[in-house]
Amino acid sequence: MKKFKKRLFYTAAILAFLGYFVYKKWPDSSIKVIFCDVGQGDSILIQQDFFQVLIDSGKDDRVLGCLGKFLPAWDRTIEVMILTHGDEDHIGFFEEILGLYDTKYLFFPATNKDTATLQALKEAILQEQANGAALKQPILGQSVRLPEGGWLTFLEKPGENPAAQSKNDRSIVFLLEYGRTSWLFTGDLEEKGELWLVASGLLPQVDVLKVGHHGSATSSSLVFLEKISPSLAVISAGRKNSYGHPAQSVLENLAAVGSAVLRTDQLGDIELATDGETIWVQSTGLRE
Amino acid sequence: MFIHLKENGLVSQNMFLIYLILFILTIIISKILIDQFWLANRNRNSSKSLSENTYFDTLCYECLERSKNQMFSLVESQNELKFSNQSGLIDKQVFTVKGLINQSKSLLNFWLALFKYRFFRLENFLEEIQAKKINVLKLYFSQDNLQFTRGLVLGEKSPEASFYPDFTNAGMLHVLVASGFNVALVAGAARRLTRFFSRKMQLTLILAVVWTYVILLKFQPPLLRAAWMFSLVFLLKFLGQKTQRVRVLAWSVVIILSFQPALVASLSLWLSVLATLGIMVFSRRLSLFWQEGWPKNGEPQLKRVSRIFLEEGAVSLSAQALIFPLLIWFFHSLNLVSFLANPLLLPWIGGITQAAGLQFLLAFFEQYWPVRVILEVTSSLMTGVLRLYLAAVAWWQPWYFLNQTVAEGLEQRYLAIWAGIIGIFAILTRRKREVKTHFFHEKV
Repeated sequence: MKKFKKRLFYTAAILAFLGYFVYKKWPDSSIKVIFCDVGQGDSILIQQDFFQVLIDSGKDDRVLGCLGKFLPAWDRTIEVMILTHGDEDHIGFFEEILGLYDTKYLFFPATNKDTATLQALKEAILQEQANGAALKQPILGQSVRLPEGGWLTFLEKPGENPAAQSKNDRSIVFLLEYGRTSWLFTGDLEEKGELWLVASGLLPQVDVLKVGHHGSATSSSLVFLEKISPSLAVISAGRKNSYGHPAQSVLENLAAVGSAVLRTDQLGDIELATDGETIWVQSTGLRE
Repeated sequence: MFIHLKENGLVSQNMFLIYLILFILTIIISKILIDQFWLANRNRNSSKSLSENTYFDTLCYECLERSKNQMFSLVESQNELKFSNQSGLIDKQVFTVKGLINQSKSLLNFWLALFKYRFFRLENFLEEIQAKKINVLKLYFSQDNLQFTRGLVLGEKSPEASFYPDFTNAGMLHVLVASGFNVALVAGAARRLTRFFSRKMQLTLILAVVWTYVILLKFQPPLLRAAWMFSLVFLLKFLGQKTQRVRVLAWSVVIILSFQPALVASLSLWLSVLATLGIMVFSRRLSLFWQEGWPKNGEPQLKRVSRIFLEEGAVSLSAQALIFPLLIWFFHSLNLVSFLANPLLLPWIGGITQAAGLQFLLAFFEQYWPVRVILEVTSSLMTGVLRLYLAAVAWWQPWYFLNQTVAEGLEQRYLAIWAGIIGIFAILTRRKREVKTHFFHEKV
């Protein structure tokens, strides 16, 4: 009997210990947007309950540390994956991610690039399609509904010849709306694309902007920023990157519209959270 | 059984080492001689075109047939130039024999190439799996921690890791290299898991596990040395033969060099062999200094703990005793911190390596969600332990001034001092030579 009690105690202790770790990672109905520190590249994770959207992968394995840190360990499905465009610093590690995680919808714009990474990625996508995932071309107005409310709407240029645009301007741009908050994600969109969006009248005022092209001087024009006037701007750039991102002119433009700036090169992973009313910085931190 | 081992004194051990060196030399010389006097190459100039056509770089049956036909047509064409029918016939016979020899060589080469190709495919497959599983572990471990555990379990060096300079300066780089210690852990785990099987089956499974591990890690010389030692000991014990550790070590070296004579120039192999030999020869003798005064039974807790650290210290010192000349000669370094850091930090490595190995093993079953939860929990605990351990290694930084570089030309002086110390030690312990026999320093 004593032995049985002892065993029972140890089992309960182990289960409590496991339970604590499960509870720690159990998601809630608020939306969490995590800007992963992947060096000079982009990778953003949007999470609500057990529904996740992954935007880009960065160019190397650093994204895995971020996914491991923020996703529940037992959940190996990222419901929606968005590959904004074909640049290495955005899709370089997607093939491996597809090997680790299942997905239901993959958004990938048409590209005339033909690199080894893209070839490998296309094969991985075919494999994923065979497992039941749907590959979609983003079109204007197409939306993804989040389970506890919230919409993710694509703002694609309709009828534009992809070959006529620069590769960065072909980035998938989309708007996330939840409650009274709105967030704009612009991939590597440059000034020409920004001006088209301004002219199209599709842009509302937004609360959070993912600054285009890692804060390059070719993006974030003042006209565009004045139109959306974001309260918070997040720049995903590598520490001491050779491109000098973010450019001083971009930081000045953001300051001119009164936007607070958060940078992954300074803060590491940036986790923002919203309940539809307020947006707050949940956590920031450099990974080891 | 070609190896007959029996307990002998130190003299026969020395003789055996001499035999070993002679054997290695014989292998090298025979290889040179075989290349020189191989029958098909005896008339190399006249049959050059023939021999050239018999070597294949590709796996192609048609190429083999085509080349064979070409070879015989060459024989025919050369015979047409002969005036004497008799000499022509003799030449034809000679060429036919050569042709047959070359044909068999070609076939052998072909099958060897096929074997290499299949092995390469298997290696690629294993590498892919390994990369996939490491990606899984990247979800749970920070970059530094994963690099450290990869060093412990897979022996992968990561010179770019932030902790690497600390391990180098603390003389603990050997921890990050797969060695006999890893093989011992793998064999120990396999033995525990297979204890329910029959003896024969258990032996087969243990050897299979050990050699799979060695293949996975691409036959790193220290692992080969340890794997051969284990294989020999297990086989000899299974056959009821007596084993003697120095001989087993010597035969392992012989076998390794028979397969890959080029490894005779591998520094990592000799470092591994000499470290093991050092431990075999010196560690027990060193421990006699405190074992006599401290009876094992009923000793206080503090003494028991002290004994563990002293024994680790003895093992560390013994391992360095014989590799010291190599370190002086090839690396010109005198690492005194290692004598202090190793005894204190090595005892923990066994447990950490086992825990890290378990994580790697769990990664193979991560498609099941409970395994993922267990991985999450254990990796969180491991992260804390690894952080502490890396901090403990980094703690030695203020002591790095003790490490000295041996200037060019001063090596002989250091070697003379070393020889003197070893000599004094041998004299001091000459009466304590007969110590308990144990097979390896690696404790499972």
